[in-house]
Amino acid sequence: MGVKVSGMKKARRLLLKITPAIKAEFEAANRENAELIVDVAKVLAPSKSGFTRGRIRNVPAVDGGQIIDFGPLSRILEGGTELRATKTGANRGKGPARPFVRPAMQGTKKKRAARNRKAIKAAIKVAKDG
Amino acid sequence: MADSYAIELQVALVALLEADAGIAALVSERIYDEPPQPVMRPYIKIGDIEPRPVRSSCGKAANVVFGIEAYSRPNSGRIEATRCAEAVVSALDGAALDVVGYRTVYCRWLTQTVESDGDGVGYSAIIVFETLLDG
Repeated sequence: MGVKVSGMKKARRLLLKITPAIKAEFEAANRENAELIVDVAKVLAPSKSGFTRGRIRNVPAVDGGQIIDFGPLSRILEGGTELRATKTGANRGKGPARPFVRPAMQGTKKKRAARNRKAIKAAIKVAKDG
Repeated sequence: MADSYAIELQVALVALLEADAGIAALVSERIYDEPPQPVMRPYIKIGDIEPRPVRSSCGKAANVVFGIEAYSRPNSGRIEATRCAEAVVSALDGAALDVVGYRTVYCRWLTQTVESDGDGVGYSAIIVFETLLDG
């Protein structure tokens, strides 16, 4: 079965019209989405000392995207641990899982998608009008 | 003059939670900022409050993500913590929060988790909301 491609030239022409202003709008949408994930993850992080919460942050990437650092304990908290033991072999049980990364991603999914759609619509409008 | 977004929001949250009959039926008056030691379970605690400025040219506003934590009794399992979480959602989702000095544009439930406590005493729920405060 063949694949029919339609509207490619038109889409390419529109993409070529992406201006720095449109790029900035995409970057702003990305940053706001990342900030929302960071805020929700901080609220959900189970640490009482603030060690985990204080290390959750977003940093801009070179391509206009955002990198979210969930902190050094996120892997352990997210999935729990295997059975642990001391050097002498005494059982210390499993570290419980207290997931906060996945719930933060899931809980903000719709809002992030809506923000992305808004930025894309605005970009298409500018490209068409320009 | 009104206090900061976080403090005024916390005051409004405590007032609203204390006035809610569904929550009172579950935790009585045990709604804390910092619970006393030893504490009687189940209880509700105001969790993390994360205000972030909204950048606009027409005034000041803040988008605030906050959490409400619910702690269940030992051996009552996940059910009690989940019931508390549902009562909190019912009280706060879409509520018109009376925040002194600010206008609440919206207050929405985002997500929640219910997990076993690290100390093995009971279960705890963290319920996350987002609100936009104008002013």
